[in-house]
Amino acid sequence: MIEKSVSLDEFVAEYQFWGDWEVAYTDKTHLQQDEANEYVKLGSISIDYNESASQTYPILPFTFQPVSGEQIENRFSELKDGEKQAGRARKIILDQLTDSLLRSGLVRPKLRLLKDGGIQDGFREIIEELSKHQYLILFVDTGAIRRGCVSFLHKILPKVSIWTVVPVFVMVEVQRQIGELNKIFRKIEEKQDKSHPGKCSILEQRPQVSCVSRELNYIKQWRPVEILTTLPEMLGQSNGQSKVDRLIIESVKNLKRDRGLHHGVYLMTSDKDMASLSALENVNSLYIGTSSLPNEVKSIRFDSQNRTFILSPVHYLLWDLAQVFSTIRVSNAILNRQYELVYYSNARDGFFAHDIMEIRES
Amino acid sequence: MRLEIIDHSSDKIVETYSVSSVSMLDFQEWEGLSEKIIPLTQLLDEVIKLNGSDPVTNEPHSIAMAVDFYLPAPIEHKLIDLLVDKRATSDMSSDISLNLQDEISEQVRNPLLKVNIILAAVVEEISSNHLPKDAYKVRISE
Repeated sequence: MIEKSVSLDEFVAEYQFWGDWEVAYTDKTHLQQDEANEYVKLGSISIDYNESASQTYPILPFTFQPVSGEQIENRFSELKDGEKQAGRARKIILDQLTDSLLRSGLVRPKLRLLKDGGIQDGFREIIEELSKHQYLILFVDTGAIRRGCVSFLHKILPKVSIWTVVPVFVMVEVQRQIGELNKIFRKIEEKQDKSHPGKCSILEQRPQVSCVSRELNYIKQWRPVEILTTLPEMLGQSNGQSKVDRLIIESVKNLKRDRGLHHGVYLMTSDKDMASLSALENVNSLYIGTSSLPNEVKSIRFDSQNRTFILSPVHYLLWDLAQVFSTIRVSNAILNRQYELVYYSNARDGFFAHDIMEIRES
Repeated sequence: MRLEIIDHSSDKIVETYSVSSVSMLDFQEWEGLSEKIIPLTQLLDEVIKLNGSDPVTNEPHSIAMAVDFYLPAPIEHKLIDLLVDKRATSDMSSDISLNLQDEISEQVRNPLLKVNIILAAVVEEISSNHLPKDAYKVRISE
């Protein structure tokens, strides 16, 4: 077995994919780890080109067929102690797959703009409206960053300068999640003989750290990101989601008032209630939702706003899946090739860590 | 190829999408047709069924065309340098090395795409942009 640590650009440059691949995951937090690790299928990837095309054109289009909810439930029912969490695993895995497709650019988000007392749901109308601004100051919550929506807007609005503002409460929340994940991993290390030490709900927690850190890390490398600090006494109030929502909305109001900003300031959130609440308080908001998981998705999209085609590399989807599901196995039975992509085996490094993945080839 | 979105009730064209890289001739199913009108409700299903084969070789018809990649911007910038390094050899002259850089940039930025996938991507976007779907039809022509 060959083991290698790579960054995303190295992964794209050095690993070529063609033909049919199956993607499955294992995770020591809730699946059995022994000589034959338990794997749960996440989907199939089909790249309808041959080796020679993949050598000449390193990034080729692909089709991804996510696993069905029924298949997930059946698989969990087969696993030791898995039956109890089969229903919950179905929902969590499907939700996480949808978010991964969104972050990898394979599907576009559902947007809702709440502005000046009005509501807009049409995707094109919203993008048109946002493109009228020379600059956008996006005040983001954890959910919006986790869904990769700042990157999405950068891609679709190339002529608009986007300034991302992250309230410090968001960072505090992510730090709290890092602490919780570390605790879970410590427990696993201590009780290594236990087959199923935790529940699959960790699949919801992990992207709150790994995907949020990655998104902030990449935006920071080429566009401004401001961490908005606030009074220390307010930080102490950040226990409980409704208080965090209130603090975020108040922070947007303060920012507008202190800096005399009247246009182009939006609160971007994945929380419908928070979007509505802020709109009631005259803070324009952009709600980021997701559609249901498609049966099949192609990696090329047409962007009618910019009249261009956008191609998502298969590497980016695999990278994202590894960040969410901890260890993914990508295998091609015909080529007799198998990779294990191991990303987040521990909540190490915290924010702005190097985005590195371990690849085991066999 | 041109796809005109037509309002059913007024028969007015509300928007036109041009896909210069794809032709109706690329699809055997549309052989001999100068135009094809499809209700928007059925458009995606019809396009997904198209095979887009090359009429001579009967192989799936592909073209190399310019795309924008959905990758974090810093990654996109580093990628071409890495690919050049991978293919370059130590005894290459600087002229050859520059040519190689151009060649690889061209291949990366113009990947090989199947014509039916390109058309399906445009049609998916049209289907999401024009709602309710039963209010529109689409005229496809060269």
